[in-house]
Amino acid sequence: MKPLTFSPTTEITRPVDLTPLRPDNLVGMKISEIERIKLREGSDVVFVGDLFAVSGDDPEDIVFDAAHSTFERIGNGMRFGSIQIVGNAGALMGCHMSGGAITITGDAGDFCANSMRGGLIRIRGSCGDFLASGLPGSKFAMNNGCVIVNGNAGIRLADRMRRGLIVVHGNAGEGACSSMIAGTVMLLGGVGANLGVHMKRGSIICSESSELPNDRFVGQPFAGDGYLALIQRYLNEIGESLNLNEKLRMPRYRFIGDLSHGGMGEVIRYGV
Amino acid sequence: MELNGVTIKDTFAEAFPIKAARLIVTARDEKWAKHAAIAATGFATSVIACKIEAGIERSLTASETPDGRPGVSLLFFAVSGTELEYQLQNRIGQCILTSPTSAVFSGIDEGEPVAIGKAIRYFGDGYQISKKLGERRYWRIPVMDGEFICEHVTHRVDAVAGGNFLIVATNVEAALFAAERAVEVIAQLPDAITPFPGGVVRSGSKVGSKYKFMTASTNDAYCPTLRGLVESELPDESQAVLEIVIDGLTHEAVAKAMREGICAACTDGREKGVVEITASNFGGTLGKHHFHLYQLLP
Repeated sequence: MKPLTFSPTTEITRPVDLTPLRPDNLVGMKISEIERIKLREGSDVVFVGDLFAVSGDDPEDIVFDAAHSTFERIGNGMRFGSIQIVGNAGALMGCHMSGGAITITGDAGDFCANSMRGGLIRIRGSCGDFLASGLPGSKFAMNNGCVIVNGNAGIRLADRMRRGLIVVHGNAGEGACSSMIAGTVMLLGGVGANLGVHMKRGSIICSESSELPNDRFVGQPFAGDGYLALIQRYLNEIGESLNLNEKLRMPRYRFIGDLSHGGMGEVIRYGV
Repeated sequence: MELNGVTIKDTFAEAFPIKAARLIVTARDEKWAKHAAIAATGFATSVIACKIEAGIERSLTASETPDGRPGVSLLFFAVSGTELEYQLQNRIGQCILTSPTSAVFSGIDEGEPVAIGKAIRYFGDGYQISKKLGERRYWRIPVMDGEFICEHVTHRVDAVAGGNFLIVATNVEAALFAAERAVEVIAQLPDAITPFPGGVVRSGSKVGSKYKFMTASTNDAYCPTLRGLVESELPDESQAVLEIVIDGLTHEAVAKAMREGICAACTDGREKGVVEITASNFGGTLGKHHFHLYQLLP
C-alpha cells in the first residue's frame, strides 16, 4: 500500500486547519470522499480537493508534501497511525494526540504537542514557543508520550507538563519547564533563563552550564543512574541513537526544587 | 521402555494449573542481584505451606536487563492471582527493596496486571517519583543507598505446576548424583524452575493422611524403609528415591524440562545405580496436565 499523500496544488497563504486529515478520521474513506472533506482556511471553508492533490491508499500512513507553516493543527487529536510532514508545519501540530507518530523534516510552529496524551513526535528541525505546554487556562499540559526535537525549542517549553518525555538536542528558550508538574525533559543544548521556575515535580536533565536560581534549588551528587538507563532503553526502543552515557558526562549533580513549590522536582546537571 | 538400561515406568506425572509471574532483579553486580534473588525466592518450595513456589530461572547479562545492569530472572507460582500479588509484594518489599543497589522489573508483558511498584511505592513516604516511559511506569523510591526502582506492575499468566519425575536408585549417592545432573540441565532451560532445595525433593508426598489435620503426608509407597509394611512401588534393589518437581510457564516448557531432566538423570544408566524413572500422580484427580513418560521420551 502507498501512503496517503496530500500535495498542495496551490499556494496556501492563509492558515488552514488540517485537523480532519488524520489517520483515525480517514480510515475507510475513498479518495473522492477525502477530497470533499471541509477544511477551514482563514475565515473560509474549503474542500480538501481545492487545496491538495490526494494520492495513495493507506490512510494509516499519511504524508503532507511540500508542507508550509500555514499548515496548522496537523495530527490534532490523532489516535493511531503515522503522519510524515515533508517541510514545515504551523501551530498546534500534534496537539491533543493520544497515539501514533508524527515526523516532520522541517520546523514546527508554536504550541506543538499541546496537551498531548500519547504517541511520538519527531521534529527534525526546530519548533516554536510553548512546546508541549498547555493552552492558556488549561490546568496541565502534555500528559504522556514523547517529543524529540533535533533543533531548538522556543520559550516556555513543557510549561505545566504533567507526564511524558521531551528531548531537545538544540537550545531551549527562556522559562523552560516552568510550573512543571511531572515528566522528564532532556535539554542537551543551551538553556535560557528561569529554568524550572515554579516546578512542583518532574525531572529536567541539562548541562552544568544551565543556570538555576540559587535560592530555589539545592544540589547534591546524583545517585539515580538507574533512571537514566531506563530512558536510554526507551530511546533505543523508539529508534533514537542518542547515547546518554557519552552525552551526559560526569560529574552529575542533582538539584531539587523549586523549593518555593514543594521542592519535589529535580534538575540533573551533567558535565560538559 | 529402557533408557541406558534404566527402566522407564509406563506412568504419568500429574500437574495442575497455576498462576505465574516473572520478575527481573538487577543490581550493580551479579553477586548482589543473586543475594536479592535468593532471598526473594526463599521459603517458596511448595504452595501447600509456603503459598508460593519460586526459583531462579536464569542469570541475565547487562544487555538483557531493562537498566543495563547484571540481573536475575525469577519465576513465581501461586494458586490464585490474589495470593500471587500478596506474595510478590511481600517478597519485593522485604527481600529485594532491602538488598543494596537492587531494582526490580516485570519479566512478562502480557496477561493480567499484578501490582508491584504500585504497592511498594508507599515506602517512599511521599518522596517517591513516578516515571512513565512509553507504556511502562516505574517508581523511583528514595532509599539509603540512592534510589530503588520498581516497575508499577508485572503480569501474571496461566502456567503449570507440579511436573515431576522420580529417580529410583540403589543408594542415595546414586540418586543424588543423577538428580543433580537433571537439575543442572533443567536450569539451562527457559520458562521453568525446580523450586525445591537444590531442585530436589526427598519427601515426596501423597494426598491426605491418617491425621485429619494433614492435607498431605509421606509418599509411603516410595519409602524404602516402609517396604513390607505398605504396598511398595519400589523395585527390590532400590534403597533411595529422589523427586524432581518442575513448574513452568507452559505445558511445553514443563514437558521439555521433564524430558531433558530424565535423559540427564539416565546418562550413566543402571551401571551407576539408577534403577528406574517413574512419576507421581494421583490418578488424574489433582490436575489436568498429564505428562506420560512414554510420550515424552524419544
